[in-house]
Amino acid sequence: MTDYLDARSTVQDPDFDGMEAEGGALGCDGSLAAEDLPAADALTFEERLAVLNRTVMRHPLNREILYKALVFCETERPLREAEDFIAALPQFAACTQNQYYLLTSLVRAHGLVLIERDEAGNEVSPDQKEGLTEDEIDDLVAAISFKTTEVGAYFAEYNRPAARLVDLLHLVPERTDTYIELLRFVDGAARPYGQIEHLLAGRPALETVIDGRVETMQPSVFVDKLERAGALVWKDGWTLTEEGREFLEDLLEHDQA
Amino acid sequence: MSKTSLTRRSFVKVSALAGAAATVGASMAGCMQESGPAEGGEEQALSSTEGLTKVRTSCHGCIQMCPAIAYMKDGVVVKLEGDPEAPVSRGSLCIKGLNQLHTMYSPRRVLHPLRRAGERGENKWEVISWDEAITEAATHIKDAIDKYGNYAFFSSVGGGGSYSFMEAMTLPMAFGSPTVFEPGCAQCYLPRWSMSKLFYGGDDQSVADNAVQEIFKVTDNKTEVVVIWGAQPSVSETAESGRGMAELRAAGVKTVVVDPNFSPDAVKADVWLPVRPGTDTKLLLSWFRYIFENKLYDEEFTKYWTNLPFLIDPDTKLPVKAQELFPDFAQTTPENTPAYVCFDLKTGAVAPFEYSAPADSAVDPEIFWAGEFNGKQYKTAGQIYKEEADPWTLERTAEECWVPADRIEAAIKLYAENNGGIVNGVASDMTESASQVPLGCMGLDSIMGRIFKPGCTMTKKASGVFGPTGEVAAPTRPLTYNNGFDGMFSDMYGVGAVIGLSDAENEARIKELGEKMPDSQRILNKLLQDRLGMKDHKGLYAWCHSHIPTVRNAIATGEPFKPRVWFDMSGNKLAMLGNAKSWYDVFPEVDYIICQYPHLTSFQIEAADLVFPLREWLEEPMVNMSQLDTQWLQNECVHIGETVSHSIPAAQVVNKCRELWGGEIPGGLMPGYLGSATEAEVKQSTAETLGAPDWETLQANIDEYVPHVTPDYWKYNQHEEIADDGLPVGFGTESRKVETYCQILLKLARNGYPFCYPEPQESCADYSPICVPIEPAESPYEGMPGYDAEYPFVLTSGRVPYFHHGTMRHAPFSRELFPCAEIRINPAAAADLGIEHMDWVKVTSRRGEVHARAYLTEGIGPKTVWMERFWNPECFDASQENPTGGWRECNVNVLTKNDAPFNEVYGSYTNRGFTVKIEKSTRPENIWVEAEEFEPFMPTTEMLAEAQTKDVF
Repeated sequence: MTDYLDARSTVQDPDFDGMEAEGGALGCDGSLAAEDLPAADALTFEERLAVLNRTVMRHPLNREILYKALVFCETERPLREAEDFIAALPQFAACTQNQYYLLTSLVRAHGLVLIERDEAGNEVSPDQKEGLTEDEIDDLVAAISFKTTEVGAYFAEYNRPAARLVDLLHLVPERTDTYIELLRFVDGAARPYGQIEHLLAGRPALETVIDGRVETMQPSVFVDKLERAGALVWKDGWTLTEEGREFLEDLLEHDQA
Repeated sequence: MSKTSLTRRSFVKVSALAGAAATVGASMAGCMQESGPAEGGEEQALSSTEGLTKVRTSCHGCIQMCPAIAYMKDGVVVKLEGDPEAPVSRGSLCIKGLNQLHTMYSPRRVLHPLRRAGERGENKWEVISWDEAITEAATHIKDAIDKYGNYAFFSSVGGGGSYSFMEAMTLPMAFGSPTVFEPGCAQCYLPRWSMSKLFYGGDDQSVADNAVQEIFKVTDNKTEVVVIWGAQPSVSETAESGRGMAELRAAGVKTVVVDPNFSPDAVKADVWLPVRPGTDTKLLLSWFRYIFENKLYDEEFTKYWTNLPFLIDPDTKLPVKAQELFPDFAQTTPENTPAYVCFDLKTGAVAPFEYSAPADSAVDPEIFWAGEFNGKQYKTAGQIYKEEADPWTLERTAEECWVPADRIEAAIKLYAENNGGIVNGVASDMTESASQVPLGCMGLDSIMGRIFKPGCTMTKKASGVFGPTGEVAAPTRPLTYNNGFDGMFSDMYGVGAVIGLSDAENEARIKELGEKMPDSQRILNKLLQDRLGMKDHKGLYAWCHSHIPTVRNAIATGEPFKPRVWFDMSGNKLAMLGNAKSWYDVFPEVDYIICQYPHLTSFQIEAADLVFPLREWLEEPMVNMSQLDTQWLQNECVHIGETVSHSIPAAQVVNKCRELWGGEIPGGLMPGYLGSATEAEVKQSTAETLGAPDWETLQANIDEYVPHVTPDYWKYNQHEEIADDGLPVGFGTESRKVETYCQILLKLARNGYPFCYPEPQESCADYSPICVPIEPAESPYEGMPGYDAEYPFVLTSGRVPYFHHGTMRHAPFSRELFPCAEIRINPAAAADLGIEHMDWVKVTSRRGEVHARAYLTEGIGPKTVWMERFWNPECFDASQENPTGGWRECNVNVLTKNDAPFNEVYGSYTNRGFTVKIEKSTRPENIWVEAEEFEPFMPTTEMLAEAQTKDVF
């Protein structure tokens, strides 16, 4: 299994021959009805996980939002609540899709399940809709909500920021101190990139070997990898995410920072 | 973009475009010969244009841009033909040009800004306003730079169909980023273009890029032989260079064609050398050997106008300066014209060799000499070349290059015994030997004394392609500027040494420029040093481009920085980039992808988040390339939708970014982006280039201003004229001579000189200053590195006459003629595999597999196979479940090799000359073959009815 947010290896090799397994196309508005859902039963758990992985990793600007939506919907969430949650995420400012599209794309990818409920709050089954007109179905379905599937929960757990951060810090040990220094630097105050650039300029940690040649990396490499690990977020400057702060506090508590 | 309701056949019957179908046949059939009108032809011709509005323009179906005439009815272009006044194309217009009648009105046209509505790859789009599109692009760019620094931005271009080369090169400069690439840079033309500047400071030998004009002169043409080395002008540039070659052959000019494929030019050649793909260097060395051994070279020119007599220091590999061996030597020439050392036949001793006219030389230099001086062993550069060539006997070359020895000998004799020269095309650029082949081709012409001579290909015109106007006429020591075309960025930003200035002069110049623009000099120096892949492949500096595989790896790994917002300025990158799948794999690593193109191709569908609509060539004002000494107008014949000229979207985005940042782009260069922001600027610039005061005056008096003739265009023997320092003008090199031993390449490898100056780049392994033999990385020979018995065939590729680069695949009539990927296989080889003509086969390389129809022909060797270079089926439309259009199934670039070994100077990878296996297969489900299947490409009634619109900006 590949973990899409793995900071160790930015590019995974998507299933080049198997991408059509993602199910049918959405409308331009992202509209999706429960009966349009792909037959998840026809796929194994691993196959559904691969489809979800592909969907989440497909666009970098949407990635962390999709991940957080999976976590958020571990408790069933009404559409409005899920949309509001997404809209409040700082990453949403650069997102390329609307909230509804993002949620339904996770449904298509087996990460969320779309639940339709009647006025009484009971789940509407496909049998109940059989033979009804579109208007009658609209009357029957009073609300929709989303809940993370078993596959989605597995994915979310596997890609917890803490796990990603541990992986990142172990990947190139000589960079660990710089990662931690950067986490501390952005703790408390949002830092513009220029300040980070200034902080790390000339550091030996910026040196790396690519194809046998010593290259000097840009400080943005550290920012990118910490962001990818879920520790940094841009809020008019780089700052810690909640998970990043917890991770840093944990390090401090154990005297590792 | 709705699908037409007309059937293909009914469209042909009713459409005014029916003339196009007739024109395709007529143009090709009547080409190359004077003939009377066909029966009824004159009457037909008259009636076919009766009532139509005639507009003079230029085709832009390929880079040569033949003058053309557009005929319009009710605002729709209904007929195209060549302009009979054009001196080389002479009224010809090829299929590529005629395709415009379909592509202009294609349902694939993008007429409004598009924002992706679904996932990348789903082909779902939302039409948005220009304001929204510009703001969205600018916001993403600004966000990325604010968050990750200037290097987050990158641009690209290439693939045909748009012309934004300068714009793509300068767009990252505006954003303070070093990253830009073009598949057609190191892989197409840059190695030959750049090498000619380093070799002798003149124009290159490309017949595919308008550099070679001399051989096509209509009057007083002195050409007797043309060697076409790795080009097929009759296919690639049919109406101009192809027509020109046909005229030459008709006039009795001899031709030699070096090409694994039996191209139309090979068919007509006096000698065809079907070289094994990727082994051209070995063949070139056999020519050197034969010419040296049989003393066929121009001895005086080689002695006095090339650097081959110079003694080479075995430690530095550089020519020895006179003062190094003769400390008391008092040089009489200026500091910018060094004296070197030779073995003097007059005295029989090693002696200083000062620059002078041959008649004034104090020495009689020996070209081939090896010996001791002051206890150290030296060789002349000529001797080094001779020894490199020595193993390449006709027999050995025949064995390794798969060409009979007697045919090689016949070719060399034809070349040596007749006046003329070598022309080339992109073939070598697509291999590891991208720098060595032009070194060899120019080297041969140099030892034959065929430079700046009538009838030769290596001439420097008064206004050469991308060359300085009038420079050769100036009686001064020639200089070669570096960094960009004509070294334009050197003066603009104060970076780069000038070849031909002394060290002290360069130092003073760069200091002065640095004082004038310290920030620019500092920023550009840094960009040069940080550009991806440049430590090893410094030749890319010539066009300010990055090394493509290194960019791809940086996107993939995020190191040494992550290019993350991409502005692609033309073409279908999946059709152009080597190992296309490896690029597809990194699309999910790019934050935001902005494209501009007149059409949606599989690349825009798979990758783009935003698409800006561009004008087609029938809509965009421009000045064409030259034909001989003439330049022509590409006119605004029509204009539909909200399309804009190619330079405008980026200019608008840059302006919006400046606004968002409150004035200036932090870390960006000024002026940075070089491209017009409005159509008025585009039109004014076009008018001025043609000598008109403004666009309106030009339009009112087209016949007065078009063609624009460059005065005193033809120049010969200018190196012998006397310059203002009293010496012969010479050449724009360090030694002032033709550097057949290309000594500047050694400095380039060691510190980036002359591009990285004043700040040096890190050194890399030395580049070879001469042509050396290269065996392709994937050899078909057992025992050679890279041999794998599983892949027994060598695949090479080239063009077909119906399409240019990755463009025009949605021109339905051309697709009817050439509907799907084909692979040319020798019948004997095919018989062994049980493959028959037009069977579908699977072609597998070490990177991937594609399918194609087998075209059996004796015109390809039994161990070689040939495919069209850019094939991408684009078989997508709303009716297809698979929206990728078959690029994965049929794109030859799924097979190509984009990893090491690269060409040492330019980093070119292996698009040709790698090994494959062939197996029988079946037609992929989503690949169209039958004429009716191309119905979705037909111009729609909606497109034909599109209103003529005003300029957007």
